[in-house]
Amino acid sequence: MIDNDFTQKTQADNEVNPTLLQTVKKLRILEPFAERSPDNVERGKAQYLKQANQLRASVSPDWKSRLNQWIKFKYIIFKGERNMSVLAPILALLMILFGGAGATALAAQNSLPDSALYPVKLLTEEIQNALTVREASRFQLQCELSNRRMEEFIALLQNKSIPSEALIDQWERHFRECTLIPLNQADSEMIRNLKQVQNIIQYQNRSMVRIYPEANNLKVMTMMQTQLREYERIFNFEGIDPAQIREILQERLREQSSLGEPPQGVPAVQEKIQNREQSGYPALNGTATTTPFGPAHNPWTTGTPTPGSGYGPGGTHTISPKSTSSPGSSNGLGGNPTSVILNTSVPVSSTQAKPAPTQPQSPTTSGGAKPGNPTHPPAPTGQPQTTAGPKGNGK
Amino acid sequence: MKYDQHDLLTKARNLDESALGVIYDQYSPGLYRYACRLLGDQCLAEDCVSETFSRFLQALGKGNGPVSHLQAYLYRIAHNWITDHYRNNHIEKSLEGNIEMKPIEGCGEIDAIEKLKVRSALFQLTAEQRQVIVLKFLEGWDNESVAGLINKPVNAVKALQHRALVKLRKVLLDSEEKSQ
Repeated sequence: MIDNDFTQKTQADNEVNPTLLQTVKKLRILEPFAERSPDNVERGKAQYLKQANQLRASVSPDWKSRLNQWIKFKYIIFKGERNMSVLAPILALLMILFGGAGATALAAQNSLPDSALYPVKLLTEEIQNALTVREASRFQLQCELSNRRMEEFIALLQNKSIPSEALIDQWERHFRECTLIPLNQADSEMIRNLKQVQNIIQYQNRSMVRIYPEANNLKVMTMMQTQLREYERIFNFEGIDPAQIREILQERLREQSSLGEPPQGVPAVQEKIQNREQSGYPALNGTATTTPFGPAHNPWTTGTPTPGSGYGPGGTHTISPKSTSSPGSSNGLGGNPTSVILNTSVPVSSTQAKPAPTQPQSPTTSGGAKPGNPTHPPAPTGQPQTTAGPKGNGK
Repeated sequence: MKYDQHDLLTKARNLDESALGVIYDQYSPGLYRYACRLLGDQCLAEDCVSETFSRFLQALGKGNGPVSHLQAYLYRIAHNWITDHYRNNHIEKSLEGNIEMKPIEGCGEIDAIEKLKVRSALFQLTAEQRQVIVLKFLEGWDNESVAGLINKPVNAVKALQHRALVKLRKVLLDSEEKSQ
């Protein structure tokens, strides 16, 4: 009933239910309003148009225009030219494959051994080395790689990380190549390259000196400095007739290699052996591989790292004063017996460092005897021993 | 320059200055009037108009905005602005005690109080009811235009109008009883 009444009386806009007409009249009290000032109108319009202009200046083409432009571009690239439609996927694939690998290799060139990209850097170096055939180029490459390893070594120390054994081993390997290649060259070229080797030694020595003072207490620093001093001695040709340099150098290197003479300024391994004998342990047989050119190449890194020695394979370790010091260790980095001896601050003359006569048929003792474990007797005298045995921490 | 609705909107989408000017000239007086009646304040009405056109421009800049029914679109913006303003400023309080709204020039104080009461009653309606009532009885829109604005059929507009008037009457009567 109400609906019918409502429908009939609202057919026209002004037809309202009579009971509500009074309400409509009351509502119309709001009809009068203050006229808008023309100034306000002009000001409002000006502001509105200004905003429109700003918007027009800043707005980019609408999405449809942008989409159309992209479709046109895509058509030209992929469909417009028949050949491009075939080439485009091939190019894209090549870019993904080689562009990505190239970018990774490039990014790896500045990486340090504690970086995830470092193996990529080593791989690129290996490839470069394998592709370098000419002897002169190989010499230059090895010199460069040796310098690079030294720079990494220094950078790690400056970052408060301890360089790994692997890094020192690589430096040693590259440096050895640098020194051996000139021996097979003609005299003039050999002299020139040997001078370059001398320069490299001086450069690396100077680089080591620049490392912050705290690093001088680290075993790795001592090891590297000792190695460099030894090379400095070997490649010192003052007062030697140039015609005899090759022979003398070969002799020195052979001495180092076969006799196992410890580097100058390094406490003799025999000192350790004597200490062992005095302490009641069985005498060690054979010669310690302390020469730079021994079978294991690096006397300080021979064999498997000692657990807790601080020299994990390939890893780096943060220097921490809270590091657990293993028995026999002097600086909390672990108890590699050889390193303990190397880390002595007492300078030992070359005469003191002369080893006791050793038997040439036993090239190594490192790892053969286990000083920290009396239940494991040393290998019989005269038997070649592996350098890969575990090392004892204690004495 | 004369434009039909479609051309006007097309040019407005491209931020054509003349078309935008035409739109302002065409719709700003009605919007101001609508705002002024609902808000009872010239300054607020100016703000409402300014904000309505600003939002309209922003929508055009983003590629949105009305495809048709430009008038309904602008009034919807203005209506929303007024509703938000009313909610935020609690005009009811001023009705009860502190009447601070500036009376329109030429109106007596009694008129101003009456207008305030009616306005307060209007804001007790739902948004749609208020829109229908104001547009039909104050702005003089026909049912079809109002239906276009609120996106409802004409019969729904009529029903809304009836319910709105019934409720408005009740609110005004209650207000009078309280004042007596």
